[in-house]
Amino acid sequence: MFYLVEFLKVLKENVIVAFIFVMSSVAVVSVSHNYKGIEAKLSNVSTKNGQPYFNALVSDGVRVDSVVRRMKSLPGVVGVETVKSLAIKKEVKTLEKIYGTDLLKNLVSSKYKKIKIELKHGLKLKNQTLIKEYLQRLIGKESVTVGNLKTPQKVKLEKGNIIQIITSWGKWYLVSILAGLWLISLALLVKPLKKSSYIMEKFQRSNHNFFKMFGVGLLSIIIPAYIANVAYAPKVDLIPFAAMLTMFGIVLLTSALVKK
Amino acid sequence: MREVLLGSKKNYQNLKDQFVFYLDNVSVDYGNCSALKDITLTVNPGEIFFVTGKSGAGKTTLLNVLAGDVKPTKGRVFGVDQNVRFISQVFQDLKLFEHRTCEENIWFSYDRSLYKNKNEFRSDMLELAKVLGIQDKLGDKVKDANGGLKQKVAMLRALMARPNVLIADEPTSSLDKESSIKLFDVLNFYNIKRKLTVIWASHNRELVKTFPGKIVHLENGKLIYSGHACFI
Repeated sequence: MFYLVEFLKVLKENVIVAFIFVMSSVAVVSVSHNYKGIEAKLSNVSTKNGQPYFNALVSDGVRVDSVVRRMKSLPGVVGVETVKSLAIKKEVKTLEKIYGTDLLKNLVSSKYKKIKIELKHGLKLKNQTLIKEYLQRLIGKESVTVGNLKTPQKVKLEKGNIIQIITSWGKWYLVSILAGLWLISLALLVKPLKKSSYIMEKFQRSNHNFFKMFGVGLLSIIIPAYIANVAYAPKVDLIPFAAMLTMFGIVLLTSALVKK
Repeated sequence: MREVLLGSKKNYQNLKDQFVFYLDNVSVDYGNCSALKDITLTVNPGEIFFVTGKSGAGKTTLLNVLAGDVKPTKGRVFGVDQNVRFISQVFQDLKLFEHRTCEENIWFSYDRSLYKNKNEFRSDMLELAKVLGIQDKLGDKVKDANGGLKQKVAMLRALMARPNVLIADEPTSSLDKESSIKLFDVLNFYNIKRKLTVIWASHNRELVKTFPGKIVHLENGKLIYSGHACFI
């Protein structure tokens, strides 16, 4: 109790740092307990960025303006884009893998246009099929090749969208930020705690007061945080214990390394 | 830090009676600067020991060596285990917590192994504060206190730890002569009553000459004089 009171006094004298330390400690425990849920939430956020779409390769002779206009008016279609024949060579190469080199030769010898049809999020498979069938009917089955529906995540990664790549690593950024905040606040708290423990050791017959104070103080933060997390989402996992042990290890290391 | 001479209990008893500290050719260097040069001295139990010298003479370094906070570059320091002979300090910079009250600072000395309960500590503290004339100012914040009050609080904190050895670095630098004498009287009382060994550093040689005790005079890190004040 004595060490806890001293720890709280030091926190009271360093309010801002103490706030960051307590919040980041609680957050580390919460994130390590709910890491699966957080990972799922972050991945959902990343998929919202793009629209699901499919491509259609159309013979160069077909007039696509009216097709585009009609497709745009369809319910469930968000947007329609046309791409010139030169730009689709890359796309044709990918078709080689699916249909073989013989077909590729024929494809390269002829000219094509690409129509990209963007669909609404969560559109049912039945409706997607209807839209594809409508497109085939408009152009004629012989003159059009319709591709599969692509998911937004794949779209973004294929396009090299940096935001998508960054958000796919979201949990690690979160962990890094929390760990950074915790370490910075720890470093800022070490000096006043070290002074306090030094004075204690000078006037009381006790040793290792820094670790005792910090240990008791940290326990008083992370144990209630862990209990609250377990009460909210009951499960037993090793990761929160590993996180808490790491925190303790760092405090122990600090108490050994930092001079009074 | 300090070399501990504790071969056996019997051996310790002999040493305990012989000296508190024994410095054997101790030198301390801070980079190229030599703070102490070949100091050899003995501090005996129950002795009042003054360390005098001008600013920068090496008084604080010598005290830090005795307290075990500075390791000598050369030579050896013999002392008795801190767990057996407890050393308390009055620091030159006092090391008080500015945002806390004087009383809260003194409570740092509360050791449950020494006092029966908190009331005993509190009554002892009030008694000593009364002697030093600061009983009404214990509730003041240290940041609002004057230099004299701060020094008395630091001294009170050190004495409340019930040490066997008290190392005081310039404990009267902010005090007038009357207060300094009063403070010395308190230490003298503890010295007689509780066999407290006092090591007191001061640049005011004239003041310490008026007190009974042993004087060690330092100049540029060298020991110039060691003996009783009356022989200076």
